[in-house]
Parts: sequence; C-alpha cells; structure tokens
Amino acid sequence: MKKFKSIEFIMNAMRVSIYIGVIGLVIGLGVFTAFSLFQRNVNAAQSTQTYVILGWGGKTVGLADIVSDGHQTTVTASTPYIPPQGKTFEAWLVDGNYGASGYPLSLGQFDEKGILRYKANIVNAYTYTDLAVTVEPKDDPDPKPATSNQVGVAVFSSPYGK
Amino acid sequence: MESEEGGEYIKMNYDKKNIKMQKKYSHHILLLVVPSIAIALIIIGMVFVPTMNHSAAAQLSQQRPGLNANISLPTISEAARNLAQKLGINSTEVSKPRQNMSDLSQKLAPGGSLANFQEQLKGLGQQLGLNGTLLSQLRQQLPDVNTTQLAQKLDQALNDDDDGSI
Repeated sequence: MKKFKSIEFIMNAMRVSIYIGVIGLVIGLGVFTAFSLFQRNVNAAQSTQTYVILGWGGKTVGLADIVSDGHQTTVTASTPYIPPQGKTFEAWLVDGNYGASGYPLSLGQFDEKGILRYKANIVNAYTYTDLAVTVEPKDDPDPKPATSNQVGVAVFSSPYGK
Repeated sequence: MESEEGGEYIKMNYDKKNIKMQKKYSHHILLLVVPSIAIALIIIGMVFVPTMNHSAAAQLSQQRPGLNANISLPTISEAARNLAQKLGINSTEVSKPRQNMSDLSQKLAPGGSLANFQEQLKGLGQQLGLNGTLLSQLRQQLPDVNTTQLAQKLDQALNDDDDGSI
C-alpha cells in the first residue's frame, strides 16, 4: 500500500511540475511578445517638437515644428522676416554631430508669407542635428548652401543627433 | 718713424697677402656668398610671404565679410552646439506655444536661456565669418518681432497644415 502511495505521490509531483512548466512557458511567451510589441511601438512613436530658430544677428529668426517617427517627417517652419531683395530663405537639415557625415539636406525655400512646409519619408530622420536657415539668391543655380549667409540655427535635442 | 715704417711695411705686407688671398679665394667666396644670399632670401620668403598672404586674406575678409571659403554648415552647426553645451543648453527646443506659451516667452525674454545663447551666437557668427552685412540688412528691413507674433505665425502655418494644405 505504502509503495503505491509513494508512486502516486511521485506521479502527482511530476504532473504538477509539468503544469508549472507549461504555465511558465505560456507566461514567458506572453511577456516576450508584449515586450516586443511595446518596443516596436516605442520605435514607431512620433516625436513632435518645436524649436526656436535663433538668429546669428541677435534676433530670433523663427520657429520650426518637427513631427517624425524617424522616417515620415513633417517640418513646418515660419519666419516673420523677409529676405533681402533678390534673395530667398532656404532651410536645411544638417547632420553636424561629432564625426558625422556633415550632409545638409535642403528642405526648400520659405514662401512669400515666410512659411516653409516639408514632408518626406526619410531613411533616418534622427541622424540630423540641426536646422539651418540660409539666404540664397532667388532661382539659385547652385544647389549647395550659401554657408556664410546663414541667418539662423535650431539645435535639436533627442531623439535627433543619433 | 721706424715703428711707423715697420707698421706700414707690415700693413703693406698684410695687404699684399690679402690681395693674394682675395685673388686666390675670390671664386671660393662667391661660392659661399651666393648660396648664403639665396638661403637668406628663401628664409625671408618663407617668413614673410605667408604673413603677407594672411594679412591680404584678412583684408579681403574685412572688405567682403561672410566670404569664408573654408566654412561649412556642419562646422557652423558644431560650433553652435559647442557653444550651447558651454552655456548648459542642450537644444533650442521649447514647449509647443499652442500648449505652453510662457515657456517660449521665458526662454526668449532678456536673461532667458535662449536669449543668452542667441546673444553669444552673434559673437560666434562674427568669428566664423558669417555675413554680418546680410544680417544687419535683415534687421534694417523689419521691426522687432515679439514672441507672440512668432508663435501666432507658426500656429497659423500648422492650422493650414491641419486643413490639409500640405
């Protein structure tokens, strides 16, 4: 009788341990899946930030609103200033971090109302560190920035500058 | 008298020697002098030409401010970021004026963090050779702009975006 009881006890113990194992596995899988989904959501989260475009001449040149999930990026900037005769304001996203590429991406020119709108699906928007505004000749045939004619800069914070 | 004659004799003797030596070594002296002059000229050239070029470049940059061929957007960007970090500012970010207007006003008010940064940027811009004439032209063309106007203008643009104009 005692022998049977001990076998039964062992069988029960085995059964309980299998149940615990299966339940543990299910919980583990659930936690893992939830964490991955959370991580994906975090990565896909949109960052919406507003920056002041500070002027090099001591005056505030404007404001820039940037919405991005790292790829889909919308930049809306405004300036209350008008460029000198025969010139236009052009905005640039600059990758100017230490040891970075230094690549300036033109966002186009401000319109006659002083508004700039830019929308693109960028490979990695978070590599950029700053937004610069330069004064360029109207219908400029040179696609490069007139660097020494920079009038304002907005310095980005995280998640930019990666 | 003897001594004077002796002196003259010695002197004449010496002169004769000297003439002989000059005759004998004149071409050697030329060999020594010509390269020396050449080396001296080279040294003078090495010292003075870059200085003159530098001062000419400085003069040119004074005459035509902003024409700094070596400067690039990333260089300016890095300089601005360095300055910001020195002042303890990470960025020029402000709260969305639509939600928190006071943040923008405070930061741009005299003594505010961004106002201070902007004031320092002016000096940095001059150091980097940014076009001061152009910046002053901008100032002359328009009156002072306050933060409310700045925020209103951006809000207007964002509202237009929301309306689907982008």
